[in-house]
Amino acid sequence: MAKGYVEINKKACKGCWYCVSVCPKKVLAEGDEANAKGFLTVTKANPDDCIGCGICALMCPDSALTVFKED
Amino acid sequence: MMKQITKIPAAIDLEKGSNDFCPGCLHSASFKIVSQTLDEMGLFDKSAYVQGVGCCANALGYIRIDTIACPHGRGCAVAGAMKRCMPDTFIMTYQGDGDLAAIGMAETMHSANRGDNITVIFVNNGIYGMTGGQLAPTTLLGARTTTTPFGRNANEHGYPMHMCELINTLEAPSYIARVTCTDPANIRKAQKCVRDAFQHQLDGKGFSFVEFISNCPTNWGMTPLQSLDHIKNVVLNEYPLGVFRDK
Ligand code: SF4
Ligand code: SF4
Ligand code: SF4
Repeated sequence: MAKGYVEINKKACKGCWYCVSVCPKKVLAEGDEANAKGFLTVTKANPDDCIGCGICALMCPDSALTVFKED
Repeated sequence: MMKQITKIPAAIDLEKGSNDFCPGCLHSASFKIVSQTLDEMGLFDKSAYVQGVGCCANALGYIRIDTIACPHGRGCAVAGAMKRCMPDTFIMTYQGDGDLAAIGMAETMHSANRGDNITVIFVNNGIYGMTGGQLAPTTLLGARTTTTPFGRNANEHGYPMHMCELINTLEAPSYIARVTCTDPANIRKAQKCVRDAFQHQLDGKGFSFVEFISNCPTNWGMTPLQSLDHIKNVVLNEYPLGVFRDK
């Protein structure tokens, strides 16, 4: 059972991959699905490894990520 | 039970999807920090800001703070007047380098010299982003822009201008810092500097100034991640980070 969960707002994501570069658990990965604006959006490669550290959301300039953590 | 640990700041409106900044543009990051700080300090519904001219205007329509857009470069003069008329309102300007350091140099320096009780958020990406990548006063030596196709050369185009250092020669300003958002540690430091700058205004200490070293992946011709490396490896050598003054 994952300790954390990250919710991706695909409408707000612009595919800069900053979150991918900082996630310590390699949860996030460059996706190939585009949103309505034509930006590729981030995807989850290893959702079960998420520890809910929140680093990805701190780094995302566009507030596209919301992080939840096991209490 | 999963508990939500991150929050979208109240000032950021994502209903229409994303803002109009290019992917990876750190304008989004500095706007986010400003918005988070307004929330944290309970200033969200007590604030108004002056919007510079240039790429920073891409935030219009996605930011839920009262905004005045003024003629190019005049942000500090307008903000200083607003603060005098509405002393209980928290007043900021948000300006890029073409706006604040080129056409707005006079207004910026005189506002700083008067010690206007405002907070200036200055986003320096070393280029005119919106108009297509021309030379700015802050452009690095050797950097190619559409108006310096062979690179900026000191003999012809002068040297990069350092706004924190210039303002730091004046008596009145109370807080001056330079930050960046290239990595989580620097984002945390930037959050602290913006908080401190806001506190200076709340304490009535006068002019507070935070410079964000930013990027322009579009006109630098880089991917967003390459532009972060460029800041770390090249730009910060010209523009060192730190708190220059904290009265
Ligand atoms: S919360 Fe931490 S572990 Fe989970 S996706 Fe974000 S950075 Fe990775
Ligand atoms: S940092 Fe934000 S905008 Fe960039 S890819 Fe990740 S979620 Fe998308
Ligand atoms: S042109 Fe440059 S500064 Fe303007 S939004 Fe795009 S990346 Fe940002």
